[in-house]
Amino acid sequence: MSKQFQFKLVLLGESAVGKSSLVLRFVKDQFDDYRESTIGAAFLTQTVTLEDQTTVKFEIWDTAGQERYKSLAPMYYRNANCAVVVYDITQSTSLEKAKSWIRELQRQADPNIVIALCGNKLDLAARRQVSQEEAKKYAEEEGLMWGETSAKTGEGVSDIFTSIAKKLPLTAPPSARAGARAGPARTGVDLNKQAAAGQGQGEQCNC
Amino acid sequence: MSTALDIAQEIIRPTEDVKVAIDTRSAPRPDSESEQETWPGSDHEPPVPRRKILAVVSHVHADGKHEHGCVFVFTHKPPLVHSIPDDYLVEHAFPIIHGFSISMSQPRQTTLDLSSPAAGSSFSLNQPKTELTVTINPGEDTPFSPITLQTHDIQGLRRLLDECKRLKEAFAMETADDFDFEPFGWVAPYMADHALPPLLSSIPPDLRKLKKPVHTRLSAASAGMPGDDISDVEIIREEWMRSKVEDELFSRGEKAGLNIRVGTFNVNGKFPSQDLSAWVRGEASRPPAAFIPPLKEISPLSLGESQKNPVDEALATEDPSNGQPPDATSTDTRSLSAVSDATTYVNFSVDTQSTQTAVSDAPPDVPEDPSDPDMLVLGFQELDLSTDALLYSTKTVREEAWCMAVFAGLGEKAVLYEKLASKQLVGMLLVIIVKKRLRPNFSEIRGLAVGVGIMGIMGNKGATAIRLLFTPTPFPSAAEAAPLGRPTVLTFVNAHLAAFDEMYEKRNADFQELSKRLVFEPAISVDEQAANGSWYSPAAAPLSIFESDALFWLGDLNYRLTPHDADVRSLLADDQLREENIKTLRRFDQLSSAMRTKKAFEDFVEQPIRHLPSYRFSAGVHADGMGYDMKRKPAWTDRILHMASKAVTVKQRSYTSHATITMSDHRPVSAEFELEVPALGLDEYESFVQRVWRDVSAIEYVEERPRVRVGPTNIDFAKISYTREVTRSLEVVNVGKVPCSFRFVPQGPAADICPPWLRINPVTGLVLPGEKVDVTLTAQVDEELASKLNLGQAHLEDTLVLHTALGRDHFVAVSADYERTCFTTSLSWLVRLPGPVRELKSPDDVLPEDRGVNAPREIMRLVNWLMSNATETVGLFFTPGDEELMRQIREKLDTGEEFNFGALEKDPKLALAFADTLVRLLESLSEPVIPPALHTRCSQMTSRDEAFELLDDLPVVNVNVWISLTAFLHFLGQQDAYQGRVEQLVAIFTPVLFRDDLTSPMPVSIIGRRNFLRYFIG
Ligand SMILES: Nc1nc2c(ncn2[C@@H]2O[C@H](COP(=O)(O)OP(=O)(O)OP(=O)(O)O)[C@@H](O)[C@H]2O)c(=O)[nH]1
Ligand SMILES: [Mg+2]
Repeated sequence: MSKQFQFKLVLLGESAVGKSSLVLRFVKDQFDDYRESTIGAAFLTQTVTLEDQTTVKFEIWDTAGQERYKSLAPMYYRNANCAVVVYDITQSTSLEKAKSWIRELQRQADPNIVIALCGNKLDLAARRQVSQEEAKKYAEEEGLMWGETSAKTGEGVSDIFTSIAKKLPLTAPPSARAGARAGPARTGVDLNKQAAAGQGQGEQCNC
Repeated sequence: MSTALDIAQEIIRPTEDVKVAIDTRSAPRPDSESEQETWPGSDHEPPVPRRKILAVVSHVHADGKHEHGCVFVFTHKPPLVHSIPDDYLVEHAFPIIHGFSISMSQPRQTTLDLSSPAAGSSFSLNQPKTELTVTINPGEDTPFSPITLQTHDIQGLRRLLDECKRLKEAFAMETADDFDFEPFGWVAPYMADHALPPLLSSIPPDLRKLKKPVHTRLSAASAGMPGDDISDVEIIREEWMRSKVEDELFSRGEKAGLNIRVGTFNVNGKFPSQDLSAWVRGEASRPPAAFIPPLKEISPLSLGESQKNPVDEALATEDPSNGQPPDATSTDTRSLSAVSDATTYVNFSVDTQSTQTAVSDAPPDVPEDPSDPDMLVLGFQELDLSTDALLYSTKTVREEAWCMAVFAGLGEKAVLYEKLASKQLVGMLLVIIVKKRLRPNFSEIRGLAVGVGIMGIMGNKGATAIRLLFTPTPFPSAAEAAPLGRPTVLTFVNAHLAAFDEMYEKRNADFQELSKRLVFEPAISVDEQAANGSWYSPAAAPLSIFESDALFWLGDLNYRLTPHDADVRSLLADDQLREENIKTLRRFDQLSSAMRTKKAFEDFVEQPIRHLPSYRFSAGVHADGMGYDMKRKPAWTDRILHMASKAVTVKQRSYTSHATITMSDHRPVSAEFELEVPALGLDEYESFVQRVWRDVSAIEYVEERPRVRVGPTNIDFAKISYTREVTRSLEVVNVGKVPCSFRFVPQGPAADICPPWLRINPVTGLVLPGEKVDVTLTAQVDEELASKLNLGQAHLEDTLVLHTALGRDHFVAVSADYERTCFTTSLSWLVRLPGPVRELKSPDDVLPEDRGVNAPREIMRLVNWLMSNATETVGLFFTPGDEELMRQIREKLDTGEEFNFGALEKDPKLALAFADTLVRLLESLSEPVIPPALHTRCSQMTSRDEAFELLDDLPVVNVNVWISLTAFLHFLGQQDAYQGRVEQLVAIFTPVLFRDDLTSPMPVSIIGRRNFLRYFIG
């Protein structure tokens, strides 16, 4: 029997760096060229399976990057087990913004939070303003995970989430699981059970 | 008739697809045709085979890849009262999985019964037709057994089998690892549909719950902390259904009226000795010389011994329909319940005898007037004061006597009425009298009594209550049968609470205690209810009095007035200022204060009293000039309140006491109510609720996340100011496939949902796919808020968080710029303003305390304008000002702009608006012109000189305001138009300049304060 873990993950970063796009790629393996800016916070879940068959279920909060809503971010990163702080490799200002998010997390979030710094829009490397060395050096200094991704091509996306899953303390089930949802409760008839039980009986339709 | 596909599509939600649907019927068992499932047709027709619809439904999961199928059988719903056409429910749902199979069997020739009305079009060809048998085998590992159906639709069946095959093959290709969701989770909601939707209950929800805003009943939630979405959905959905029923069914359909006259009378142990017609019929429609039974005071002792008394004889001649022997009540009634903590003293009776007589004795010659009440609800207290009364029931005699006096008071109309029910507990008696012709419209009558008197249980204080159903469409025959119409639950409570001025808290406690303990025991057992079969059946659970559509609470509640005895008497004695003084005293009424502070009677409604206190009267030397007992402070002890859900419209037509009935130390009080209830069939109601329910029953089960568009996301209210509301609208559009329930949540766990300057309506809601809800945001600054904002920053901004259940949070940025006002501040702050308040950039810009002006410019501007323009105007301060004009005047005060009203300048309307603005400005000050610490001393001044001396103790600014105001009022009092109205000016300005302390149990003398003011303006 494989083990299942559940963690709360929050995405932070300047507007338009591609947070929502990363989540969409990770959860649905899709990409949108014209995404509306997030005005609010979206909640999604995705599961990753590690080599040892351990599954890690992420409860993901994708937050609004616009400055106007900055004061609400703490509501979403409180109790988070991990954070992905995103910048756009073609915008050096977005790295500055990412750094300020990281400082805030280090100051105010759960002290055990696992933070990954993520340089997005790798497909636009031709217009790169943030060098790999610079970002990597900063990440090392701060003790963060680091990686580059492209939500557009999918490159590096699952890697970053998988590395986070590996880094999380999988020895004990996470204690803080704020934001956990009540699943569908009180189904009238448990049809799922039958469905599962019915498998493997290869009887044919006589039609 | 709808096609099979129509019906299936009606039931199946938009998240699923009906692939094929065909008409079938249940197959006969091979052994006997008669065991076929049928519903009875009309009397002489053979039974009709039930129509069943067989459908294949597919669901494509949110990932867009996986498709799963399920075979449904829909069957016609069992009829409730009479069958609702085209109402189907899910009888079977068989997931198409490995073990599933479906087959059709050898055709056979058969002749159908063609007269059957319920058969589909495919049945109605008048020739032999091929009929196929379909057998569905759900699979061995399922809990379901195979079923067999018959159909003529060969083509349809073929397509249906093809679909099944396709879906079964698709299922076989999958492995469990392909998806991490439940493949047939989407089927569960259809099966859960059998649960009774909310609102289909014979018990109305608790009125106290209905009066609380929905969001206060939801789980704790905030941004990023969704709370318990599932239970929130249930509450929001029920509320949504309720308002749908109210808006689309109740308010559009037909209405039935019910006029109720409610009365309360503390009779002080007396027997009736006067005509009660004023109380039971009202003064206006008094008939000439109604019959008054010749009643004398008789000692209870002598009555206890004699079975006959003059009252009985009087009644016997007066009302033939009620002409039973005096003990008729006890022999001809059945006791429905005798529930009480003081059981021995309680009797509850329902007259059944007179129901029969009503039919035969229908009075042909007494016409009904529209003003005749349909129902009389009369509460008596202190029916019997003898100490014996606590031990023995003296019920029949006194109840009979008073009922007879009531019927006598009804005069020639008495024959139209009969007693429906009564309930007594020692001295408390509640009697319900109805029009005979309406008797069949009342049912499930229950009585109840609770004592909270001596030792907390005795019946010297407490309440009796009666609960009944009113059904506009009467019952088919026997009173036992389930009503055809949707009934309205009415409950009446007659209470007598703790006496004496200082027992205020005890009265509140009595109310709370009675609210808890007034619970009707069930009339029938749970088994009986289950046997009934319909969702509508008499409640088998204990029922609170608050589980009503309308609740009336009457009685001697014993709440008193807080001002000094002498104050109360002289205020009441002044018939020149009666109206003004009653208004003044009402503010000091303990019941009003209990309601204001929510200590008792929270959410009840009482019409403002305009009559004199009904307590306590005396005769001769013990009485003051008004007839009030010198030993007891007059008070409004006798009250009538109510509370109703939106299912009933209650309009109060009168509220008065009856001074002509003087036999007791209380005067009787009455109130007339006009009720409007929906006149609906139960079946009509049920099918409406079921239809609404079908769209929303499964929100918490569906796998799809709700998707809504919320906008605009930035709302600027621009300039907002004191008393002016600015509204904006926010649209919540459901762009997804499933219904979406939403609620606004606070940003943080301990925060409010929105900033204090904003109101959201509604705070919770539900949107169906493709529909939208408009949320109204209203920026408003009331007095309390203005006084805070005046001293703070002018730019306001915040973010609202709208949470969709099981979905995301949406942000709405709101902002506004507050415009400061001179209202709601203090005199000492106003004088420190360097200029008009609107020009103040920051609250720090006010002048130092010692550099302020002598008196607030704003007040002086108003007084000066009035002095030079308005002293000839009649009715200044007595006639309210025009709101729009007052807004303009306020604006000019705040901006410092000149008063320039052009053509209006000569209009008395403008002067009245100026006068009213002055009063409101003074009322809005955070502290009155006379500081509260000086009120007592002011009230004790005995001469003009003393009064002037006292002014030395006021701050200089206050003295300046006081002097200029009183000088103006004095001048006004000298004018012809104000001859004899100085007292009225004094009465109006006393609470403005002193401000009443409504929280004090012993307020500073009102008369004393008026005297003080009179020294200056008289
Ligand atoms: N070329 C390229 N464009 C991307 C990539 N990721 C996102 N984008 C585009 O960048 C824009 C912004 O992406 P979003 O995902 O909406 O950005 P966000 O961080 O969620 O922004 P906010 O919601 O405003 O905080 C969109 O037009 C995306 O299509 C990427 O990897 N490569
Ligand atoms: Mg986004």
